[in-house]
Amino acid sequence: MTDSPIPEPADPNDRVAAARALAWTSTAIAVATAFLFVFNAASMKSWAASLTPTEATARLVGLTSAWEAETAKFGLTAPRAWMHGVWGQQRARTWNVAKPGDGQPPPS
Amino acid sequence: MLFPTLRFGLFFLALFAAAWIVRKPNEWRKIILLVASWIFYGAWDWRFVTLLIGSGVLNWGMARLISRSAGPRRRHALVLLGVVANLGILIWFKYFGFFLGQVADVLRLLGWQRDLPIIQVILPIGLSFFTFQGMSYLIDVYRGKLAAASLLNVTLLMSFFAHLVAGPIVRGADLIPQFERSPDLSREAASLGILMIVWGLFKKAILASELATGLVDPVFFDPNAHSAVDLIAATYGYAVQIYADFSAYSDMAIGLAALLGYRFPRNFDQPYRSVSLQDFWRRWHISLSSWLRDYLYIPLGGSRGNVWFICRNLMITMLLGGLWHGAAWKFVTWGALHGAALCIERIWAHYKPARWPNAPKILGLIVTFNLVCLAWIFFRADSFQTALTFISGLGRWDDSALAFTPMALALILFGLGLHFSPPRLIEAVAFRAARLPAVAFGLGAGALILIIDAMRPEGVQAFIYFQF
Repeated sequence: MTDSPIPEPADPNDRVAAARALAWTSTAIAVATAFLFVFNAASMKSWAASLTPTEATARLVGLTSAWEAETAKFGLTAPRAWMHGVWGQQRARTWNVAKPGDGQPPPS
Repeated sequence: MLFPTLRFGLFFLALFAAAWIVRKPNEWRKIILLVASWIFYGAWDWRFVTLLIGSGVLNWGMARLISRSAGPRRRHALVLLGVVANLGILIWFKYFGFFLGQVADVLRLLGWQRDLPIIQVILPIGLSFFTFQGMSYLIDVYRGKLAAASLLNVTLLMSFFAHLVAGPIVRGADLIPQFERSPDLSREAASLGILMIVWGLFKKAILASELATGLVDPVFFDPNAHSAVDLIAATYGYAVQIYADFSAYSDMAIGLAALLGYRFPRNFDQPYRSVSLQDFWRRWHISLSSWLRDYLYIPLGGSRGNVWFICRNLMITMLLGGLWHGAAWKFVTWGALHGAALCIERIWAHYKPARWPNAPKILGLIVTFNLVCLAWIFFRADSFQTALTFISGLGRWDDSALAFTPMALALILFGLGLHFSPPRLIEAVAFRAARLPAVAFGLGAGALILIIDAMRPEGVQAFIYFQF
């Protein structure tokens, strides 16, 4: 096998270890998904809004909007909104180096 | 269906569940993966799914014929036919329009004006990757490195969604033996897989996208409207952007495959810490550079000859490597620059008097990095002419910066700094994280994705290597 960063299972015949690893992975993925479902409702809403408008997607937009409003009531959308705002401020920063003569009226 | 989108996330969650529920029999699992891969590919254009299937059937059939043929001449003729058929597909879709345009230009120069038929051929996504994969499979069967595989294994090898559209180019010798047994997960593999997906998401959504939209795209769109400061920043910015973009795709592909129980090869290894061009090609797009080495450079004679013979082989390999990226002179120029630099290194190593000391490594690193950046200008510019305009603008000194912002500087420094972090850092972190309880690990991964999603610009740009 060409060099891979992914390790092989220590014992490929250990069925118990393989089953435990699968349970660990499934739980981790399920928890991460649930976390994002609760704290990242804004992203789901904007994704739904970007879909081609149909009857089904209109229903999806309604559901995701309602879910975002529900999570916002409990302040769960605040961490994402705060980080988004801070990053936006950093993005908007410029060097803003004043040169001699800047800000003075032009000679008449 | 792009990796860093919610749509793909839902697709993968469903596939992950289905693939592990139907773990046995292995054949059913592979059928699920195959159908899912076709759905993934069909999300771009359903018409080309038939091309993908046809290409898989072609390589399966040719490999069967090769393995059943006893005579060396017949085997040789069959492998040649198979390679020509793969190249034919590639040339038709990718190079036909380019070659026709060149023929028209030559005829015009000779004063023989002719209206050649204009055919707009749509380039199927990932074509260069899956045809190279098909060719390496055929050649490996011919060389006796690999037994001819079943139709299911060959079509899955070529269609597997994780590497389908932008690599890594996973060879049959690496993947088919994995398809032949039921896969298993380990906590370490799963932890590294998830972290590589999150890390890839960060590199694509933050590093590459911010640099592309804020700095590189506007400067390369109109180099004349920007100062030398912007041009220099965009040059280094693109070096970071293309690394972050392409290595992000590879990382996510490796991570996704790992979660399904498969191991893909490493594709990047801190390329901007290379101290020579030869070193660079051992660290950048490793699956392509090793493909070109094994199936082109070595068959041409490789390093088995004098220094000029080696240089000839290097130039041919790099020119064709450039052309692999796209049918345009700018890619040929990019390949030629790399080929020429590799030749100069060989000639210098051969003729340098033995008593002269070797150059310090830091000098090699600076020269190599700047040469690579210079070549990237041709790679990124819309045309050869734009690249020349861009380079001439580097001498137009003016300290105004329209596009170069503190954020761009921070991202460039961060992107370059990654190359000087301890090698295999993410692996070390992942193996430690694998000891955490699943809930803690899941919360951590969710929080990291939330942070990345909050920081990313609106929309998702396609990966740079999708066009190849």
